[in-house]
Amino acid sequence: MTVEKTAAPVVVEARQVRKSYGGVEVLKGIDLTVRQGEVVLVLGPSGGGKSTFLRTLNHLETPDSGTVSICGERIGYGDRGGRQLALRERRIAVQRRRTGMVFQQFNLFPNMTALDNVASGPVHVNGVSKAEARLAASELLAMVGLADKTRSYPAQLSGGQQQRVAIARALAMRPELLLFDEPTSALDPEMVGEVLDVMVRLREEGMTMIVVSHEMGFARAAADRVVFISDGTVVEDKSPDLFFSAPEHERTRQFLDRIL
Amino acid sequence: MWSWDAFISFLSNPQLIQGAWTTIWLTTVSMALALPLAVLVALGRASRFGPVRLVTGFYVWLMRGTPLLVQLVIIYTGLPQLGLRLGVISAALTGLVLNEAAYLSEIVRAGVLSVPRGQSEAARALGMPPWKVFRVVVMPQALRVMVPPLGNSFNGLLKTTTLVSVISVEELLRRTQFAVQTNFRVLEGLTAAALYYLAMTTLWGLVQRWLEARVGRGHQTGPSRGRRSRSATVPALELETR
Repeated sequence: MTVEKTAAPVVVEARQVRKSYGGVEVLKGIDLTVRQGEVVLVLGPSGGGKSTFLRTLNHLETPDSGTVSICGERIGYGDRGGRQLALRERRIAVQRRRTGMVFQQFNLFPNMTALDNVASGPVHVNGVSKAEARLAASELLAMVGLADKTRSYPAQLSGGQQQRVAIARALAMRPELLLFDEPTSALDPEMVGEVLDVMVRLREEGMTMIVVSHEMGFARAAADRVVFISDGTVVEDKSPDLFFSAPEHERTRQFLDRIL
Repeated sequence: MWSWDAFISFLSNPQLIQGAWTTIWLTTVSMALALPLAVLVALGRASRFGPVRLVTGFYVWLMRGTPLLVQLVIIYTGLPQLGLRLGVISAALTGLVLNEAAYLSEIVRAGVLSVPRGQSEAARALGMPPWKVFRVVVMPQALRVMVPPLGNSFNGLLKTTTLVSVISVEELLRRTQFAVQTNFRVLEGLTAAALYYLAMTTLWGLVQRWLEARVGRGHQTGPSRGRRSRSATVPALELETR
């Protein structure tokens, strides 16, 4: 498995990504390479820059410097006569189609049914007909175990169900890469499992995923690599086994002591 | 002495009925034109470009800071001095639309600001270009918050149109005044007119309730799992009156 994946094409390539807010440097030059089919868990203390980094990967945050490439295409910049020029939001929107994102607060559209939430990307981004998009959407909802909830509005669904709809909505765009920003942090404990189950299934289907989460169970069961980000830098990047049994850095040990 | 006969003849007076139609027409057309303008102004006030913010901010400040009556007289009677001559109806519509749009833009702005940031982020993450994010995700949700104060504005506008009688638009009030001049039954005539206004605002109240139910989809439906947190009541927006 590992051998396969090291030979697989690179999906994400982040180089020296930096970002400051009001004079505070939140990301201090982050490097990350993720290959097709890999599941990378990003761990780290809160405020350490994990979520900010994740959001630079689809340009919801603009890095101050450094580069992010998805499937070889630099995000947020276009090549014009050998010069890298910042793209307009309209062009960045096109680049984002390759990336799906799942948010901590689900962010489902409250005025649309579960079915129309899932169909919204294909309809409004790709121009697929509503009927066709809904057909595909109902299949995706069935896949996440919500075949009977197609007509429900988000307010009528539990947190775990909402998050599964959100995953289906991201999948509807057939992304090359899925980003998860603390997908289970806003859930009641008994609902965490149903969301993680879906994520584990996606991994089995070969989806490339970067997951910011504190779910250690998921780290051990489904992650190929654990990346530990603290103080805006990547401190460790290794297999879950090595990460938990033999962390190299003092900061990692302190973090593990606190959460395990 | 109050005369029921006079009152009833005012109520069925074709002049008044014609005037009521003009009032409804003026209100509806002004609102229909003012709303898109208000959206543009609201977007302008949130623009990244300083000059755009400055111009739209100045417009709202000017329109809200001066009486509509003064604006109407300037447009109809004053502008011809500069060679710009507008017909009665055009002048009335221009004044009403420009004035109303300034107020509505504040409602639009509040509505847009009420939509959580996560909503537009989710739409952007799907790959929606900016105008789709606005039209598909932000605007429908903003509308839910905007409909009650917009309905309030429509109600207000029905009555504000009386002001255009001053520049001789033959709406309900002016027609009533004409009709009154034939028999000098002022009390009966204006009570009949008041009743017409009341009927129009009442009717509008029903339309508004229907609209609120329509834009509230997904919010007021009974949750099956006791999750009501998102169906929070619409925040009341204070409206300044002219």
